[in-house]
Amino acid sequence: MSEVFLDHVEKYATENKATITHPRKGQTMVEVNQNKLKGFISRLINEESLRQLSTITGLDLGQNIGIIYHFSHGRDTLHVKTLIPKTQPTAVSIVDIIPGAILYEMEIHDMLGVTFSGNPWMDKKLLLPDTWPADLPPPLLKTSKPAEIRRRLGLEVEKK
Amino acid sequence: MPNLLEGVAKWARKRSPWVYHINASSCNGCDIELVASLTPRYDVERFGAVLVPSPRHADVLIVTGTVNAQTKDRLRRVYEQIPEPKHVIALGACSAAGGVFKGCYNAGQGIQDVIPVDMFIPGCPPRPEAIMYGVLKLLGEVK
Repeated sequence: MSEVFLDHVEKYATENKATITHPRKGQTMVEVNQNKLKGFISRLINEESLRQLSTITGLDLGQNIGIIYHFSHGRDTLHVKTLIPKTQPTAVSIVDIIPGAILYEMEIHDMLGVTFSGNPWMDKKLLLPDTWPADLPPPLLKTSKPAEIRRRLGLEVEKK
Repeated sequence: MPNLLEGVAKWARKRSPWVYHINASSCNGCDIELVASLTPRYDVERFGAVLVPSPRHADVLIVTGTVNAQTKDRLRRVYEQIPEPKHVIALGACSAAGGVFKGCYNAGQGIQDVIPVDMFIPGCPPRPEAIMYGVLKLLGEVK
């Protein structure tokens, strides 16, 4: 069963000009272009009965921000990776095909400042405090300075 | 007569420390140990300590977890609702000095920056014996 699934993943990936790697046994990493991502995922859902989106991870890669969608399919894990430029951090939302992705996308929006177009809750905060100043950078970018953020949030107290 | 009443109040207070517990962004480890110390195995209730559902009924405030920007004002508000005389116990490494979260963008460095603390119980998490020892030691200092 899983052999067939992986064969089909490989087929779709080649059709979408994506690169396939196997980081570990039982794991498949597919790197898809941002504009082909939604078609790739919806095809896997419709035709291969891919059901479980485990989580979405965001990475600060210097020039780019990487977004990895982790899927579980039986014993296999499928990681779909896509890169977006840091200068224009806008990604396509997959909320309309996987409704549960809404919280994961909000988390990445909070932590890395990526805007997911199509996500209806992009104006809300998920993890950041209510008093978070709007002009502060997203906290998990490598350029953000934790001490500076703590000072602005009033958490650094002068020790006498 | 007033002296006698004060003596009775002090005696009663020492034998029934009503505890209010607040989680100021703890990982839940200390909370589990605090609840464990209330179970029949450790039975902190034999010293009169009871968890109360409202800070307005409490004598002792037990705080777990480091404060962050979200819980800072709420912790102060809960502290102000407790009637005098009140005592604060900082439970665990996080509430004492920030613990493993020290240096994070949204973590304070101990609750003593926000409210005055009477006693620190270290540990990550502290064992129920340590929690009971801390509470009883605090009662010994109650004047």
